Amino acid sequence: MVLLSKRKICKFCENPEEKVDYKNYKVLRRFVTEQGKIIPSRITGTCARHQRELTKAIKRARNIALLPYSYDVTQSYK
Amino acid sequence: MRYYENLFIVNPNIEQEKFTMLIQAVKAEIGRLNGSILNLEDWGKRRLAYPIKKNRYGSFVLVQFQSENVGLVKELESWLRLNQSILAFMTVVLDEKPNVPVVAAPANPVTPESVEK
Repeated sequence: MVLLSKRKICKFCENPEEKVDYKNYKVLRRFVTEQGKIIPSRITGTCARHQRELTKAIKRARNIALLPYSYDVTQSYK
Repeated sequence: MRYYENLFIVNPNIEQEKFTMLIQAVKAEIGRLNGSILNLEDWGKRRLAYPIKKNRYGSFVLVQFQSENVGLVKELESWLRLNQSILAFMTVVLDEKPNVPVVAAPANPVTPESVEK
């Protein structure tokens, strides 16, 4: 279970090669819910610095239609 | 000197010829505004996360350039806005000189057959 799992480590600190970039929407997609909401860092374990970069990147990606602003879950699952 | 990048989405239904001309025009416009292009990438046709002007697909083009001209972005954007074939665009100031070439975010290439009109 999530509660018992060991301390989460920020994905971007773990792997410094991986920059937070709005163009890399495939990575960003891991940090939004099915509805398209940004997942809080307390859930994903992202550190404060990278979470800040992440929110900015996600918002940029939304602006240019790489990520949805919102996603109607009920519609796609029928 | 500042580094910028602009990602813009072109209507995918225009002819290849017009598309090429548009790219040339964008290059020319950046040149006219004293910018020099570092990198230009055509990401090809992709599905948009949400429809823009009733289009569900769009051709993404990324341009990275540098300039000393502070007014460039404003002028470039007002120029882009006038073009009917450009669905959306976004300019971002880069913190550092971009590595050329940028890895284009891997596409889910859209084949012409899979596109419903």
